[in-house]
Amino acid sequence: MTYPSHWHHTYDSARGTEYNKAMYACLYSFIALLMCFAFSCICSSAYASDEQTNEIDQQQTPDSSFLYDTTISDLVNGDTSKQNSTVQVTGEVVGDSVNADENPGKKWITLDALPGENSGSISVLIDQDDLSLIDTYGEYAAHGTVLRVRGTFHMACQTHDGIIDIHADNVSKVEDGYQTPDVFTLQSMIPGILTCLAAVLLAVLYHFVRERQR
Amino acid sequence: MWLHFTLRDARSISYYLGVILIAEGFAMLIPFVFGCIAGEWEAVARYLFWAGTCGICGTGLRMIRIYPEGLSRQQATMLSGLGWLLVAFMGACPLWMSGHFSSFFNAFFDCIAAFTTTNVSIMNDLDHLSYADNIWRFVMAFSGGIAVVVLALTMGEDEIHSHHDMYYEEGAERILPRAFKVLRMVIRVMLITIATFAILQTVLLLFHGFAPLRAAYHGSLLAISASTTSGLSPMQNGIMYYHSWPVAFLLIVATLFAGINLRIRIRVFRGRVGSFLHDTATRAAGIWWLLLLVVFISSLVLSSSITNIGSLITTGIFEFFAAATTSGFSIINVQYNPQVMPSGSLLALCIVTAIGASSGSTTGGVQLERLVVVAKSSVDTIHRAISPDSARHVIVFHRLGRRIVGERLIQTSMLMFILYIAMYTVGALAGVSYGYDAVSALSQSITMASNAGLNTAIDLTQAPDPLKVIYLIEMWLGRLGVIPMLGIMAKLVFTISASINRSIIQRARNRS
Repeated sequence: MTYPSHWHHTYDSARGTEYNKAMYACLYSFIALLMCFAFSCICSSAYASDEQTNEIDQQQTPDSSFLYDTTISDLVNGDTSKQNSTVQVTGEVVGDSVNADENPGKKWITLDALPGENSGSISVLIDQDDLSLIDTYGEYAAHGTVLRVRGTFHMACQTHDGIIDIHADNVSKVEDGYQTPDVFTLQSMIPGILTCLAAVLLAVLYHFVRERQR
Repeated sequence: MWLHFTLRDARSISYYLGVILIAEGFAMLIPFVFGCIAGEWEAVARYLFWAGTCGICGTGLRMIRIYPEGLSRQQATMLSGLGWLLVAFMGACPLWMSGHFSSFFNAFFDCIAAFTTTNVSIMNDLDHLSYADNIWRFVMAFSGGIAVVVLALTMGEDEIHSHHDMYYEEGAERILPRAFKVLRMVIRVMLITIATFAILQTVLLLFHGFAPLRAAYHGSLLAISASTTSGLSPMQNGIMYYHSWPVAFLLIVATLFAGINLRIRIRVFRGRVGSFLHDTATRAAGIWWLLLLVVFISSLVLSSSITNIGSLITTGIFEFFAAATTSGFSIINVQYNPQVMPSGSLLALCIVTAIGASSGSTTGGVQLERLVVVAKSSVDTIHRAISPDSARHVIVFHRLGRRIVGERLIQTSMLMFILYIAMYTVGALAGVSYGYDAVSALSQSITMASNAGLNTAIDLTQAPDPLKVIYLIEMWLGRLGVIPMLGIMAKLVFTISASINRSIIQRARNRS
């Protein structure tokens, strides 16, 4: 191991060697401390500048470029945070398609919340061409086509008299609709037939008693 | 001293309750027939069963008294109070079995709302309800609407008339023949009105892209809903579902027409529009509604987040008149949202709902006649204070001619006014005690007691059952009249306590 020439006088004895080792240790420690201090100063200044640039702007409106995957129930139950935002909902088409007089080439449909979700239904303005996706409108004994709709949510639509709606940009089919018709069985009618017969018999009995008392 | 009900009273009442149940059984055949047409066999089986059950129970009740007597006024009041609960109970049975209600109580609540023509529903998944069940809801609202008008015109709710040409001229013994006469008249007027509006709504819906049968179905149900001011809708989205201003406009015309006293409506039918224009209630409505409409629209225009002024005014006018006629229709459906409906507008809606429209109609609330009588008597009291003792003061009310308002009518009107305010307050306090905010609790209470059914922030499907019981009582009392129902309840309590006392005395005698 070689050392600088002007340090040689310290290597004369074993004690001097120990002393040098201690000096080196102190020097390295001092350099390390200096480096830590310098590094911490740089970090703290960087952190401080971050704080200045990340202030929350209370006046900032929601950015509609963000997509909220949400439920119909959340929208209709007054979630104002999604006002004028792009939302994506999935629901069952129910009822009828209705002409949108103010928007030629468009139609109104109604989407109901899916089973398992909280109840709710919302009007959706879609292109007339998208009606071809709907094979069944939900009603009694019919489960309507399930659609996924992406569009702009309006808690109080400015163009449609303040109603709550979604103006769809994209509509896709998730599931076909299907019919579940009731099957006629005479057995299910028997209790009704029996009670009606009993009612008629009682009515006859009443009139009989009434005539006898006259 | 309070008079007690006698066994004879109970037997007479049971006979007529039986008649009402049999009528309900026949009414259930309407959804039965529509169910058969639509192939809804599950619903058909239910309605057939409950129609038969109504027939059995009804005939059984009639057996209690084979030969009925004429109803006294007290018996008739008791009958109407119990009848409403009984038909709602029986009407709830087939609906509960449909599986759209989480409990029987919820189904009963819905039926009370329908029979009292209140636009409230806690049904699950209305959009998948069968045609038969949906039609049954409207049949109940139609029956309730007819019964309300018949009661008002025969039992003294339409005080301006009844005090003059019913009890004091014909006597209490004539209630029943008169009720049947009025019933025929009411059914005729209602059916003509409903048929007219149903045809017009159907045509409008056809233009809006509905299939012919669906248009006729929706058009007819909307016409029933508007003509009975029940505000029910066949779809969960309410009137919003139709996205049509002509449909909404026609609904408001129908509800305004339904808000007119039935006798005056008949005069209007016969071309005597003067009876309507000279009526004091009409003039009062003109001033009262105009005043509140200005407040409502101003608040809406200045505070709502909707910036389209035209839309605001048209939407505002619709919402206002739907509230004024206590029909509860809404095209925005989020009235509780301050972004859409500021608290000032909601307050104006609640005030106008609390008063309602004319008596002798299906509208609820305090009613304009009482407001006029209270206002006029207040002015008269001030006038008396500054007049000489010899001055003669009369309060005049124009209702199919000039009528002098007597002291008894003033007293009744003031009492009704106070009782309605008390009822609104009790309901509001109940809501507040369950943790709802004061504005929501007050608006919900007003909307229930005035049988309107506006949308408020209180979700009734999540509301606790005791609160729903209070709302149910409010609907019932509001519909049938607070004074007679409280009187009957008091009489019932005294009857029960007297019978208990008698039995205690009898036991003591036996021991001695």
